[in-house]
Amino acid sequence: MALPFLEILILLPVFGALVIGLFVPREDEGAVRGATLAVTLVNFLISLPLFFTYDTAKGGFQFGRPAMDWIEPLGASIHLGVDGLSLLLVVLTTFLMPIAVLASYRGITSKVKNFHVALLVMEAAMVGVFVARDLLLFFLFFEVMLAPMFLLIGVWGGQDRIKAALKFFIYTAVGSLLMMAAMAYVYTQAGHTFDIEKIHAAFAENPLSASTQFWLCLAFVIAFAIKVPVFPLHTWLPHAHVQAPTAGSVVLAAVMLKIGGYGFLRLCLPLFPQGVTLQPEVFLGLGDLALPSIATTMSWLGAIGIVYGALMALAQKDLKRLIAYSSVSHLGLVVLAIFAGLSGEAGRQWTGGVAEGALRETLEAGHARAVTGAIFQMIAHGLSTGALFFLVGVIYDRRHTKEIAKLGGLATSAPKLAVCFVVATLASIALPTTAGFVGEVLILLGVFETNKLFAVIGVTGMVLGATYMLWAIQRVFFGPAEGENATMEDIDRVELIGVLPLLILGFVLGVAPGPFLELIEPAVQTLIQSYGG
Amino acid sequence: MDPLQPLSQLSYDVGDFLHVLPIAIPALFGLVVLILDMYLGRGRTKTPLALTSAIGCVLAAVAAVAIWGPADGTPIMAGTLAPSAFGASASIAILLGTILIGFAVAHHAQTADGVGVESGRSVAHGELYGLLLFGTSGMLAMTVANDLVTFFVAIETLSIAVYALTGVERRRARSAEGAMKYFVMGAFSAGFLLYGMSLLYGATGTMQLDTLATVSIDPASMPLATVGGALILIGLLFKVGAVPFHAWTPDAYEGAPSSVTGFMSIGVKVAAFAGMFRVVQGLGASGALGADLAGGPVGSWVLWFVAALTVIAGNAGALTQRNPRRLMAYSGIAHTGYLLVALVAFTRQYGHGADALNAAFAANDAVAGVLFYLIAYALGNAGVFAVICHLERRGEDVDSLEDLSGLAHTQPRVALVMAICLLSLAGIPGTAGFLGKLWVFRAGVASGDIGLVVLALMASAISLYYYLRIVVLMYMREPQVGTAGASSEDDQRWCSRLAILTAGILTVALGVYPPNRLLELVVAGAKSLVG
Repeated sequence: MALPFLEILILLPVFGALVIGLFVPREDEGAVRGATLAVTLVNFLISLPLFFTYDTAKGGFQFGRPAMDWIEPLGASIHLGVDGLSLLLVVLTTFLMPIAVLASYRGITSKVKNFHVALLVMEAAMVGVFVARDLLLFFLFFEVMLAPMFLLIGVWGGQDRIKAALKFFIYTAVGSLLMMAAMAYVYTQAGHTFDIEKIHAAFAENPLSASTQFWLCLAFVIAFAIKVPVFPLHTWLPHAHVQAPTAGSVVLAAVMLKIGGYGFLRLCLPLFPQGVTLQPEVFLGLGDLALPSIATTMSWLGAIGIVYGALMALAQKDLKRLIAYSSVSHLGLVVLAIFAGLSGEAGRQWTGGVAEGALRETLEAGHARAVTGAIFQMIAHGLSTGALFFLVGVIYDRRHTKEIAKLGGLATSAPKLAVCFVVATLASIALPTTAGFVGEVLILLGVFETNKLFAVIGVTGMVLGATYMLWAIQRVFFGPAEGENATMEDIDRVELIGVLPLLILGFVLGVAPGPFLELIEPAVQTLIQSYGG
Repeated sequence: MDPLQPLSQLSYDVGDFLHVLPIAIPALFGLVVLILDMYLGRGRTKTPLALTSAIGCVLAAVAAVAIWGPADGTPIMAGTLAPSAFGASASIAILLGTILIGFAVAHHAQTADGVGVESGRSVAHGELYGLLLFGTSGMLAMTVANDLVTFFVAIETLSIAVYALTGVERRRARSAEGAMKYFVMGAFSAGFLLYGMSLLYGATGTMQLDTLATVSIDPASMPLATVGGALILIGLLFKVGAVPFHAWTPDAYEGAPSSVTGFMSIGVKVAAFAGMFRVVQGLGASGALGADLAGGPVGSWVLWFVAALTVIAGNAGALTQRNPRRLMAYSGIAHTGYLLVALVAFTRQYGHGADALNAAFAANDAVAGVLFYLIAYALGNAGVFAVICHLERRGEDVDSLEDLSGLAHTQPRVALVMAICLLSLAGIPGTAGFLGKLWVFRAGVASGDIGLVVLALMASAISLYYYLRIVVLMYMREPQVGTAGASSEDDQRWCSRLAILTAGILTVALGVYPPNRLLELVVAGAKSLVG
């Protein structure tokens, strides 16, 4: 591939932001919206060849070029590439950005230009996180996206927006400060480089002691756990979602939260496999007190998150908050899928290289299935929850409330909107033939093979999910429509164009998951070889 | 070399005088500015002064990079100066600060409209720029001084210039008060410094930092050398505002005019840190930092505690500040703390149990990191103070953070640069401040001070709050009538706009893709100091 696709994907939005920021007059809102939409659409088109021409037979990182010196004395390089883990997430990002632009055409009426510039900067950073193969580059993009999101929530958000924006920024940034210290340590231990492959090779040759791995892994895991967010670090999320403008919520839920899950898979597991599974009493000198390993802890937190998020969603009075808690629940399942296979004594034996025969095969097969499901579920959740937040935004733009009690009977006044919402809900609660179904079944099968209890908890999440979503639909769309609810305007054409791709793609992934799984599975196998082997 | 040696025996190489150029140019331009000011007359625009001093600073920077850059730190001119890339890198930070602040203040008190005089804000521009340049000259001398006497002369040159600058708004009581406080504290620290120097000379028989590093001190006089070294360090810790010698900074910063506060927050700190590294190197190599204690000399542990207290006190103190200059004073204390983390990492190499290879790496990383950090810090602080100067030009004070409310609505570009500079000071990636912080903290990790680094990182988490609070005010609040944030853009102030723009662009450029030339210079600077 001659074209530097990945560089273009990052630089085009930055360039677009500069041009729009400097040359498009502030008053000409139409031009700003149009230009942003054009840039994001072009970026989406450019990202398509990644999906269609990625060579699954060859696997590994593709479309990248050899590492280029960036900040040489700091050991940082510009090294990009996509593999099966990241490719779909890149395409998901570029796919969602035009939709985010469409989602804000009605809701954002002040400082339109700044809003769209912030969106574009955010797109560049999000794509960057997924394609970076250098730790420092990854960290740069990881943090750079905070600033535009901070502004998005804080400037264009609801009543309590400033508090929510500060909470969002400080939570995430504090988590990554620890990661920064761990990165510095990794650098000194891996022969003075930030290149992830080189670090990996250095660690394969000179493995770090298990206790060192534990501390490093802990620092990385906390940073990503806040981003996901994992219970009990999730408290910033409902707040941020409720206050954020629609586009902010869509991007936050559909892409930004996935970076946490992606970070676990890209950095924590392959770089510190023994740190993930180590039971810390081995070196803390606490005698018989057996602390659970990181994997066990994270699996439990994921499992708790599934149930807790679902129960909280049941109790919510605000529609947007309800969907935010459903995200906590769904992402709890993703976290559980990533860590369940490594939890407990079996996981420790496996990564320690002492697991034999049947046990190892079971672990490998189950873990591979669960992780494949986790990646698929991240995409599916991006589509369904993105659509749900989009549609809540549509309701809010018309009714200026998100309170479930004040809505009701919207199906009579806005039938098209109701159909869309029901379809998005079905995708969210993992009805067969939707993407969510494929993801959740893969996860539950995989987790079941390695740990039955976790699988059972996971299933309760699915049941509760159906309950709170369908109940919400009943209260919002059915029953008698009174007052403004009876006269509410239906979803308009622009918004329909925005939301339909999300709904359709949700079904495409559900009916024909083959090509997507083919992409993910070999990458997951490579990943597992790197620490289980 | 013995200072009492007859002059006729000292060998001077005429070519060595070239190395004085970077120090002489700002002083020379200081004189030019004073003369030029006489011809400009009252009420006329003073931008020629800003331009002249900027030219002087640029020439000095070019000279520093071209002349000091390739030098390896061998003492010249009878051992008074030891020019090296280290001095050149630190000079860049100092000169960047002077240029940007000089531009930012150019439109102050164009007294034609009389506003300045009425509100008591009359700044005599000839004096202002003259003193800025004289002070800069002293700062540059400090980065290369090898002889302790030269060192002291340099530090006094910059100090006296800054005392006078603090009181430059003569009709303002607060300005005079700040100058007085600063002067008393400065005299106090100069006393420490001089006393320490005399003790050190008594113990070692040398006044020169390079011979100090090689001299073998008589065990009996070692305590004397240690006490002397400690007193010198106390004098310098005063200057950088490290706990427990930091209490003067908020008052002095608040009292001085914003432009002067910006200048001293950059120049004095950079010069003092450059001096501190050179002194510590001499002390460490001669063994005057004390006996080994668990991984480093006793002195490094003392600095460990100073660094820890400084990051905590600076960040905690900044949380409750409402005056932007006081806030920047506490933020400056916090940054001193981060830089001291690197100083601790640097001193670890003098422990005898240290793994030599790793210690040398950590020390190199520490010095290179500090040099880069100082440049980033200079840009960040210059940006913030340039914005404040820009807003204060009409005589409005920016004495409360609330005055910045809604700035993004009225002056979006100025607010954007302010936000970028604040994020850089907070160490958010994508800005120069992040790379500096990473570099410095990495040195701390490499030298084994992970506890201190984690502490500093946790303390810097606090800083996110107070920096972001300003961003919140600018972007998420409505402008308040009658404050600086509500005044609309004024295209006439191109000088301060230029300063603001430059600070913003350089902060991002150095954070995203720092030029190789600069990186090589700071790495060479570290090499010239550590070897």
